[in-house]
Amino acid sequence: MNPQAQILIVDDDEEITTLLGSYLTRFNFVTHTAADGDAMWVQLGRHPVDLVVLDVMLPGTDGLQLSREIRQRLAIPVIMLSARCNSYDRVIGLENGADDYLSKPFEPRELVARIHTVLRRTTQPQGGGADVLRSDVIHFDGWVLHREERTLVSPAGLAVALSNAEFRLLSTFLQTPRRLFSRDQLVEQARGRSMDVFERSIDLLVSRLRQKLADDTNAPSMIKTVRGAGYMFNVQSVQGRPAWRN
Amino acid sequence: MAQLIDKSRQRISKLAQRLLPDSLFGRLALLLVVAVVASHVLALTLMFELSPFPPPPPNGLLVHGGPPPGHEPPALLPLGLLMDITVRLAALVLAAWVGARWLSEPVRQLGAAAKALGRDIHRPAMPEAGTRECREATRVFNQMQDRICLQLAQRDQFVAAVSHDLRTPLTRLALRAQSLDDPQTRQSFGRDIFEMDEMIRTTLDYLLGMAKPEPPLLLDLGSLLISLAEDAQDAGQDVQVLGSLVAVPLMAQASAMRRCIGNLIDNAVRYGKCARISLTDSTDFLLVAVHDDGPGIPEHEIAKVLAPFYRLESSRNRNSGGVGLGLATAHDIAQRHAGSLTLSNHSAGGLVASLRLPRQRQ
Repeated sequence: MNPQAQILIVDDDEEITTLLGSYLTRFNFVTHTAADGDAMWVQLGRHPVDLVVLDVMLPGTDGLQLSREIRQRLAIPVIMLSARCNSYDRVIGLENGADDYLSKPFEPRELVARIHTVLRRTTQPQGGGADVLRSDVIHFDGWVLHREERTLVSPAGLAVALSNAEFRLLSTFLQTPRRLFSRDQLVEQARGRSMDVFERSIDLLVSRLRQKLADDTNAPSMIKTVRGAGYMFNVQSVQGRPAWRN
Repeated sequence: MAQLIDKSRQRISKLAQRLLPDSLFGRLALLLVVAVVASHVLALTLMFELSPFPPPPPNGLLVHGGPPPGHEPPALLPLGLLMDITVRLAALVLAAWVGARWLSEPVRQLGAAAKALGRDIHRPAMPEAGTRECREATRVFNQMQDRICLQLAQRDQFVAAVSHDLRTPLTRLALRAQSLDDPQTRQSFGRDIFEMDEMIRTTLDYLLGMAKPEPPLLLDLGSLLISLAEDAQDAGQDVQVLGSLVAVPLMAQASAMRRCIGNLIDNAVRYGKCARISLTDSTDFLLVAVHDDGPGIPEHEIAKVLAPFYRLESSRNRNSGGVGLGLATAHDIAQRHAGSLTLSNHSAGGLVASLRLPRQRQ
């Protein structure tokens, strides 16, 4: 990854752009700011921006419209910020070309983590997996994962609820299926927000997920154990859909 | 004296109320049947007055049939007459029953629709049908529904605006806290911000809960309880599911149900230090009970705590956070699933929140 990635922050609250700018600088980002759509385009013309952090509610052209225009004109990833947080707004944000969506107030470290993830994804495209961050419904081998509800629907149609840790583990697997993950990598991913005290061993978590996936613990076919190395998610097809609609 | 008359009048009207049928159908049917029977009795009395035979008492005619002994009228005539009267009476009573049903049906439908409106304010408008009075009542109902929906929409807009206004300074605060050198101070800032955000979120959840419909799924309730308990355990809370759970499928809205039971667990942990969850599986309903280790709730306040924004005085003093919407939201979600939420003090101490969900959704 570019060690000096350039981030453009677009928000009509001047204090937020200033504070966020100086915060991101600590993480080795170069930051630029803009207060509305016009200023954003000026900044985009002036600097080689790698990622835009965009507020939804802006004076003049709103963030959703701007996100759509960025997607059409430039190949720059967008992380959207919004003071409204519900599933509907999230879906709308992602449908309008955003790569990720965070609700205000956010944990500043969480934003940094998301920026890293999105940049990693756009600089090293990994084929085969579903674009998990952008999908609300993910189909794999007859199963359906509803991300918003954190619910897994079996081929027989029974919905099984996932715990936060199980959900993050499955999301990690779905992002790059048929890839070998070491235990440490999975622990890092499943930990999630810093608020959670992650105490379970990853093996216990994997066995719980296997149970919910009706995967035989003695002869697993979906989550395979690679002796001495870690785990691999062995599914044939993974397809994501960006939005969930009735 | 006047008082005595007044009292007896009151007593009579009370008696009449108790004897009168409760439904519109019942009253119409009763009225018609009484009219039919009375007219027959009158007609028969007049007929027998004019005929050569002495009239039998009308009651005897209906109940026993045939004139009283002692008189020997020709057998054929009363039997034929009796048949005739019976058939006519039956036809008229049937007509009264059908007629009463026909007249009262639109009102009954109106009542059912109004009940459904109470459960879901966004249901489609009722068709204006039936008698003119019913059509008018329906129109008024539909207008009322429109007005309520409009007010709800305005409220949602207002809440969205307020939440935006609150969240912007909160975001600034979160960023500013990052420049603090002392990690402990920074952490406590983070906790406060998180808590304030939670308050905004629960308020929004409660207000927007009704407006956003979510398609029901065949949800395994057992897996939901276990998942919620594991999430709470990961956050360092003392939450456990008692007994072993097999798959318990129920038609439910997955996110709403997660929020509902999650709120009960949060409440138990917040005020009662821990949560013990159990699931009872009966043929026609499922019962989720969340038992805590706290002081319980005074009996006279038990009904009130389910109301939105209501908080016990003791919980305010303890400053244990929350805006008093968790249980109200859970209660709403239970009702949307045609179920119920009740609170009770356990005999061995602690509060028990019982969520009862019918298996068949009406």
